[in-house]
Amino acid sequence: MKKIIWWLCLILMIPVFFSNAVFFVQNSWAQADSAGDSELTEEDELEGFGDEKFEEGTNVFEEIEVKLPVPVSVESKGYSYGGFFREEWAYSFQEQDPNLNFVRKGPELSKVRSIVNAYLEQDLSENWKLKVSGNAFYDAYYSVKDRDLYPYETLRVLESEAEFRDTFIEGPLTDFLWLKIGRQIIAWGESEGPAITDIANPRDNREMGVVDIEDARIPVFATKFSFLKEGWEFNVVFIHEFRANKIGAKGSDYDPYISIRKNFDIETEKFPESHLSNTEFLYRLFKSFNGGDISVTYADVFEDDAYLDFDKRSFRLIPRYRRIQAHGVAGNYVVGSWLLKFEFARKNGLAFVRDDIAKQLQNKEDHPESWSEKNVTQGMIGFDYNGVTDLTTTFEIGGIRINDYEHNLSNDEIRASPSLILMYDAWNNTLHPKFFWVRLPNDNGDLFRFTVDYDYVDALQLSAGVIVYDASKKEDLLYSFRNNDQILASLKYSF
Amino acid sequence: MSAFKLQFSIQYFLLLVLLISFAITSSARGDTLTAQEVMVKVDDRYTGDTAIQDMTMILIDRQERQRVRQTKGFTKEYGEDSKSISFFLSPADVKNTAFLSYEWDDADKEDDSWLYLPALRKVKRIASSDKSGSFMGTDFTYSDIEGVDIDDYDYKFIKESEMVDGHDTWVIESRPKKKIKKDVIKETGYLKSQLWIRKDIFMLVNGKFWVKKGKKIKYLTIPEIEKIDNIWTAKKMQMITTKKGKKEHSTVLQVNSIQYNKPLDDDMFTTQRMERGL
Repeated sequence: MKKIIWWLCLILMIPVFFSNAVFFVQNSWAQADSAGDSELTEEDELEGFGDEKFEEGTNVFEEIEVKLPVPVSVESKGYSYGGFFREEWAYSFQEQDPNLNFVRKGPELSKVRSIVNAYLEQDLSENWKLKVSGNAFYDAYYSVKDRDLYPYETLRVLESEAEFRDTFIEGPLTDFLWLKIGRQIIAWGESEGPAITDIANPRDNREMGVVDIEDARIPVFATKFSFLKEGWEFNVVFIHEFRANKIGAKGSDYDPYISIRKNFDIETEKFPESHLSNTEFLYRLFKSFNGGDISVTYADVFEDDAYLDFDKRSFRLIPRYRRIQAHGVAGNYVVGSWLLKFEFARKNGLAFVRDDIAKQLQNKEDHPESWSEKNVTQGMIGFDYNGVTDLTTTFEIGGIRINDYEHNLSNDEIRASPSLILMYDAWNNTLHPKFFWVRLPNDNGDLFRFTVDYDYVDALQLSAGVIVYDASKKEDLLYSFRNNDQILASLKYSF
Repeated sequence: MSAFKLQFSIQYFLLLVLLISFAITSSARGDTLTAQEVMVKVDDRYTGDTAIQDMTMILIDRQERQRVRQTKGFTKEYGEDSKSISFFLSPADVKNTAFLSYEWDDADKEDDSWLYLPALRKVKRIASSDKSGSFMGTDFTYSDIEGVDIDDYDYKFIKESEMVDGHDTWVIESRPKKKIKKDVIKETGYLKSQLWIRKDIFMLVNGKFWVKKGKKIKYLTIPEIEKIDNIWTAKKMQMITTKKGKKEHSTVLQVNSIQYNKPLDDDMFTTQRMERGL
């Protein structure tokens, strides 16, 4: 089945890229030919344009009659608002693994989500601005199916949600100092995938691979100072609110602990308190120069992924969060149509799960440890290529190395993960096919996603796609999710 | 990222039109002027140190369905170099998207451009030497918007006189120079073009462009011209894309307002400004 879907994706991509491929090859040949004497004559080149056959009675230089809308005013009102409604559907077409305790057992419609997003921007003065935005959704799937089948956690995390998103005040304190305070997103770095220096905001991983990075960042309450002087930018950020990565809930298709739950109970997460002494902070120095950008960062923040701490008394695992420190550097450089990019960070204080907890318990050790603290070096190198008209190709290889590695860790010492994104714009930017592939670290399964967005009119976008998880080995990170393949569809109305 | 290439600097389009359109009347009127000399004079013309403009773009498909984009843009000249920034005001799904561009006169320096996508909250640098792609979904390409190096082309008069809307015009053909032909065609997408220039004000009023990819022909018309702050300005432009004699798509650009030579702070042309918006 997966192979059929995979081939279907490829077939769908063929017409998208065919014309560009032909053009690209023709161009390459033509360039090669130009070195010799086999150049086409001008008449040959201009053959087949069919100019003479232009529609009878049409004057192409005649003025087109259009009804011009009232221009949007940017100065007068002092406020603006907008947002969108979106309906999302998903059909999971694989049977779940009967050995794992998923609630969904067979193929079925697995999402019927209605989302509303709205924002208001208000000028407080000539330079100061207030923004309030929020997002809410309700997934009717659970009511239709039977709410009683689902654990409380699934319903809490996936049935409905309402939250403030970007809600802040911003403006200049002096000519060179800018302040932004409130819930906000601070997006740094070059990587499209792994969070290397981009670690201010947690991410929404409730449905692995389904959500694009632009929707995945979760805003946090923070104070951000930006100093701007002679082309240099220096940012100081204090984060006052702890928020963790959102992950699949117990019982849901993307429960990350589903395989562990067979042997251990997992308690509710213990979140660090959001108080003054727990304030997270980050710095960044950024500079653009001709042909490239570079930034240097330092962060002292909580790791947004929980680690599992074993509690011997209750014989349970408790998800906890650790403070980490990260020194990073990121940059890019343009060469023709290539944007070469890199991002590296040294992170201290991460927790890695040990795979010998059962052995420790058997040995009746007094203080069994489920994790070890380690430092890591994390990096990414990659490129964006825009040399084929209307097509953007992004390729990255991300990697992580655990320093002072010990063999009782469940992770390998060095892990690498390539990813590829192809984005195309067709029909005057109304049709947007996108292909995404990532191989999880060290051959731990593949994730493919193919989507097509179509702008029927400016305000209305229709989307369809498919997501496929491929993992054949039990040790694969994606093995538990290997039957979560979905057909996706959505309809979005912007206002 | 190609989707991200939708955005552009409106000012460059205006600049292009101005460059192509306005020649120094007194010298260009000479009967002995060659087509090449006309283009050199067009290229040398002063077009203001800064410009601020509001623009509406209407994209019309084969079924006559219209999509509307509104932008506000700022341009500043730094000697032979220039910087520009544009913000999208509508439609809702691209609102606050911003595009920043530095154009360097030095041929050895790559132009710099960045895109800010509000959904990502991130400024991304863009690399593309291929400027033949559609520019924001319009029928104009990046090379139309950013302009071309006139030294890359050979020009010749096709007709010494042709009447367009009651005005006498020259018809000039431009073709990439043989030595660099392949590179120029790859960059711009055009095999050749034909330009109608009004003799009284040396302004481009019509254009015809042969597109290599897909063997399409595009027709440019500039039906509204106005003198603003003593600079002739194209207030309305339209481009129609045709294939084998059938209309495929068209775009109308309308300048709602434009101000020349108003003071503009250098901070306007920074990546930080893109994030903050208008």
